[in-house]
Amino acid sequence: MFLSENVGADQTDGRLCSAGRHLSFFYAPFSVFSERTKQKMEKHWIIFDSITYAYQARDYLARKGIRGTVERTPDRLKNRGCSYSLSVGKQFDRAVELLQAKGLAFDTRQ
Amino acid sequence: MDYFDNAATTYPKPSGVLPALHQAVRQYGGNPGRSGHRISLQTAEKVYEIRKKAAMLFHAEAENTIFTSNCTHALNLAIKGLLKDGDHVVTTCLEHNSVLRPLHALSEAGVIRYSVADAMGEDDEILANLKQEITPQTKAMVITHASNVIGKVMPIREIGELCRSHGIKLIVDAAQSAGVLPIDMEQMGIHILCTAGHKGLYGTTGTGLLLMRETEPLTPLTEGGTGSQSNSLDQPLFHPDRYESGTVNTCGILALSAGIDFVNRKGISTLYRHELGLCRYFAEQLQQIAGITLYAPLPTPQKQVPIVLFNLDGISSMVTAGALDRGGFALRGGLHCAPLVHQKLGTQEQGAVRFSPGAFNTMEQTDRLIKYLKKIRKNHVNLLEI
Repeated sequence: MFLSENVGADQTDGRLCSAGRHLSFFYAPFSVFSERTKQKMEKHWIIFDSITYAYQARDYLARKGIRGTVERTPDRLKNRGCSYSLSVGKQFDRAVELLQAKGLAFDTRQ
Repeated sequence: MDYFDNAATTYPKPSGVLPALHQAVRQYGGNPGRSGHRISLQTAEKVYEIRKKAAMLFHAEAENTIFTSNCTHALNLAIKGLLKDGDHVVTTCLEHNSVLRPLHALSEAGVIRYSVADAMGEDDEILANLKQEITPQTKAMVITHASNVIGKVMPIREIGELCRSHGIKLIVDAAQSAGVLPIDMEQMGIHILCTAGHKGLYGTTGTGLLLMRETEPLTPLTEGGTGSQSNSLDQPLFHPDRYESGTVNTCGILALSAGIDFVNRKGISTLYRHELGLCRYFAEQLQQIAGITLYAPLPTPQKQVPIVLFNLDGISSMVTAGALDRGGFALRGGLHCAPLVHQKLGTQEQGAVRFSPGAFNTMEQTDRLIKYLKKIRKNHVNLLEI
């Protein structure tokens, strides 16, 4: 993976304050980041504090036809220490939309 | 050796368990959820897949499925994590010390009060007894799904309704029922389900599960590294990280997965029919031997798990179990860590011998045991070790 100098382009930072269908008391935070590589390829991360939620999101999106890969969050994108990310391709916006629709709400900070 | 102590832990394990342990060591050696390299990630993914599988068995959500080291660990987390100062708890005389001791300890510390309802009667009586113990301070009921001593199956669905109607949380000890009886947490109104991984789920020892639904966050028993939110000194609020500080038992979890595969492949109802059939046959044969006391009705589907409790009259259960051991039969004597039910049975001194078959026991083995018990009763076996 080659990342550009343009780190943080289209970057948002969010924290989930309410959670999904059956999780009314729990936090499942995720935030989103995008980067543009030198080859003008976009790479997007949906960042989860918990690796379990990252895998859940991956499975859920796969059922909706969006492929993603769970990886450790790149160091420069972390703001609360260790976390895992779901790396998705061009369908990033749709992926975020689907996760939100599923009940994973989050606040964003541009 | 014919092994009939499956209520303590199932043995032997299904053929898939040993390869799973090998695979855990050979292929899944990374620390799950800690690092970014492929070995760690593939282990984390494997653990996640097994978490999903375990959750599915009980109709729970993967993120609310917590790996513990055994059922006692899960029950301690549920009880000590949920209950707060001034709370009241209702439990029953059938409970194992893994329920009674945490409750007693909290009570001794002045944190909670608890009441013990009689559960030796019919289901309607049990429900009435439980209802009678509810107070405005009652926060939870902690109830075994099935007694590890007499095998009685509790009316959990009805207890769930009772709890729901009073706004009470229901914690269920499923040590003897997971993998033996179908469990649907939602339909049965269970808020927290605790179980062992090494009994009816056929995993290895050192594994357990806590599954939760519609309950507030528990206070964790341990805090520490979770591989998440590492910048914060606060324990994460989200599941399962909140309750899984430190490296999880990957080897045990993979073995548990193989055990669950076995249960799913065979089918819970098939396994149950087989084991209960052996119990019924055993109990019927014992009824015909003079000088043997049985402590529960003949095993009946849905009313009992595969356990038969008995004694040779006038002989300590430990002596009987010792003689059986020397004769090539593994059964457990004593109090089975459930003292209150023995008080009810009047066996607190003698204890009792527990026959608990598993998936791999056969009618031939059961016949051998019956024959040996007959020999003991005819004084053809020296009961005392020389």
